[in-house]
Amino acid sequence: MIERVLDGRTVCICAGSGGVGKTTTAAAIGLGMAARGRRVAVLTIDPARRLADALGLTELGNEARLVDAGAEGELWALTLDAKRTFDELVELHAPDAATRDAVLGNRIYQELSRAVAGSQEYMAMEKLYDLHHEGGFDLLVLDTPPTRSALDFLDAPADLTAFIDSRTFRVLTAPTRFGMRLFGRGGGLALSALERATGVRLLQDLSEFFTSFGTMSEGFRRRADAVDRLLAGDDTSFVLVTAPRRDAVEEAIFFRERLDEAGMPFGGVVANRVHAIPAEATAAGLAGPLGEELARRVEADLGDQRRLSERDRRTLAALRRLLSGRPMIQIPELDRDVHDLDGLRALEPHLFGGAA
Amino acid sequence: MATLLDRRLVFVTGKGGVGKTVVAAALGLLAARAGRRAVVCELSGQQRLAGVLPGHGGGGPDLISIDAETARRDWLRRELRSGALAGILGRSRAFDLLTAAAPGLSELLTIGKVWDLVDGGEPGRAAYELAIVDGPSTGQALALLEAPHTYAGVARAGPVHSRSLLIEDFLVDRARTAVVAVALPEEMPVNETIQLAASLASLGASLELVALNGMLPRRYREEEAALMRGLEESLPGGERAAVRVALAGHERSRDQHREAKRLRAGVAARVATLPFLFEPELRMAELEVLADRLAEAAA
Ligand SMILES: Nc1ncnc2c1ncn2[C@@H]1O[C@H](COP(=O)(O)OP(=O)(O)OP(=O)(O)O)[C@@H](O)[C@H]1O
Ligand SMILES: Nc1ncnc2c1ncn2[C@@H]1O[C@H](COP(=O)(O)OP(=O)(O)OP(=O)(O)O)[C@@H](O)[C@H]1O
Ligand SMILES: [Mg+2]
Ligand SMILES: [Mg+2]
Repeated sequence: MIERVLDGRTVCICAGSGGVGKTTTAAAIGLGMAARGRRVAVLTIDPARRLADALGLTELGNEARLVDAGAEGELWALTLDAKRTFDELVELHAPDAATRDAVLGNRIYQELSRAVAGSQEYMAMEKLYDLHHEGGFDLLVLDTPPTRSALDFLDAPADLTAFIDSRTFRVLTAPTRFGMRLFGRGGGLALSALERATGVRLLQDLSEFFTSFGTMSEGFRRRADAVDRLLAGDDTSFVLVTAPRRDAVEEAIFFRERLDEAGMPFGGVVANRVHAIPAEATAAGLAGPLGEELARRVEADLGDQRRLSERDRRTLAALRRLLSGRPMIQIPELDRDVHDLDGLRALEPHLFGGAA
Repeated sequence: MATLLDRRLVFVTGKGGVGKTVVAAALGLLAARAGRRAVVCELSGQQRLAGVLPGHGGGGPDLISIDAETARRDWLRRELRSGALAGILGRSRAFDLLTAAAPGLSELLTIGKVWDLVDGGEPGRAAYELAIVDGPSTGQALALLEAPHTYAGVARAGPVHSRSLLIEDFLVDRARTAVVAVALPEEMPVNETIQLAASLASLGASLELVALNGMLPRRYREEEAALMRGLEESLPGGERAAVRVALAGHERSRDQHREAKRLRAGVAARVATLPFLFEPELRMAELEVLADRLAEAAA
């Protein structure tokens, strides 16, 4: 089942729309593979530390921590601290100590590297690449944040490269006269418009910032290219997690298209929280043992559950069309929500096969 | 304390998939019912509400979808006060690339666009009295709300600096801005909501209301559940299956109430519960039901 989705690949990225169970699935895949003797690391980009919640851990940091899961193999977990990853990158790419200190000490750098927003996805890719490159794990599972732009991380390396290669970057890192010429004809006008839109002072500050960054741009670019190759390569498998609801499935279809456009490998689908009530369930003979009134309430209950089951069945039929031969794994709506190792273990037979 | 609908901005956030879009839409309906010139802003780029809400003509709120692209264009038009200059800068892609590269800048422009709709420094001339934002999930929402503070510091002078300061003031002013969290009565979403309240406090903002969504009907009393449990094994297959379905739902509902209690203990904000609706898809009629349930909390 999930092993067919992974197909022996060493990087698994769980993506999907909000609340469908990406974190749960990522953690359960990690736990299940660790139980099969693998050394696995599960990473999340999540500021709200959901993975920590799911794994019953209290503290996670940029360093992977071993989860006490009693597994045959090892399960490691980490949530990303984007600022720390950023700092580490600067240390890696800075040609000398002076440059490193100039960047780390730069006021703008300090403000911006804390404002984690857009840089998070990029940093996650960095860390993923890093761990992959070091090669200490048999499998890396990445949990992604809940946005449509979750797939923005696919573009993050390219965005950065585009910026480094752009005129804007050169203008910002070059003396003004020279910079203006780089804008080409009408360039002076564009630059002064840019100054007006952002403020001269901010532009100067940014210029200083990017100038100190400039010496590292080559390193960043090479790195971004390498990350891109990793994502599109034979080591990676994208798992689309979805709920059996129309809006979630529409998002999954959208994600699938984005993956194809970006040339990223689609591994398969996990349809999570599927409602299914046993076909034989009936309240017909309950009036005797339960009394009529209570039996009627059970009947109403069954009716509601049947509607959900029917909805899910229909939505999943639509979903099948996007599989093009890749597997779809169904996980039922469990009786309790999943928030600890035991909950994750309840998912295992569905993910790995052997479910009743 | 001003009621929810007397603010200029109601910012809805919460964990992924908990019902943020649905709650924002229901609040939009309430605002329109109360006669506010209101707009619901979708930030997700999904534009899911256009097919569900009746729109202004039908007595609903206006709808607008704000993406990074439009936010950027509007910022340029506003700051340059010249379509031609904005065009030149737009074509050079200089600003696009800058916003893509400078972390948090595109968040600033997005929240700036929302602020423009209801305030823009001249609240009397703003297009709307109230903007209800169908915000992104918790982490990204915090980044949006934090961006003005960050850029008020990053830019020491100039238009970015001055607008950032105004927007920051606006966002932390409880008379004008309210943050609403949507949660599900499950352990992880509840934890996330409690964390959100703490993070908002550290930004100087505060959580006004939690919409606790998806509460299952409580169909059975404990002694009825006990009766069913006792009989379960002795029933024929079909009836046994039915009773198991009923008992599973009962357990779930019990777990939900435990989580609801934990939430109430963990946040100072008001908590309004919303029922789980079994319709295959939520349409206008269901949104009306949810709006009714929110009416009291919003008043
Ligand atoms: N099969 C299941 N049965 C019952 N509850 C489940 C199941 N899978 C996940 N859940 C519950 O659903 C909720 C959402 O799961 P999870 O946090 O993994 O989703 P997510 O996609 O990572 O969310 P986000 O988009 O917010 O990151 C959690 O409360 C979890 O306990
Ligand atoms: N009270 C409810 N009863 C039944 N279904 C609901 C309820 N509230 C929301 N839903 C359904 O749950 C799903 C998620 O709701 P919604 O899209 O509003 O969540 P969201 O938080 O905006 O998600 P996202 O993080 O993806 O933007 C939708 O299919 C919606 O119809
Ligand atoms: Mg998650
Ligand atoms: Mg939404």
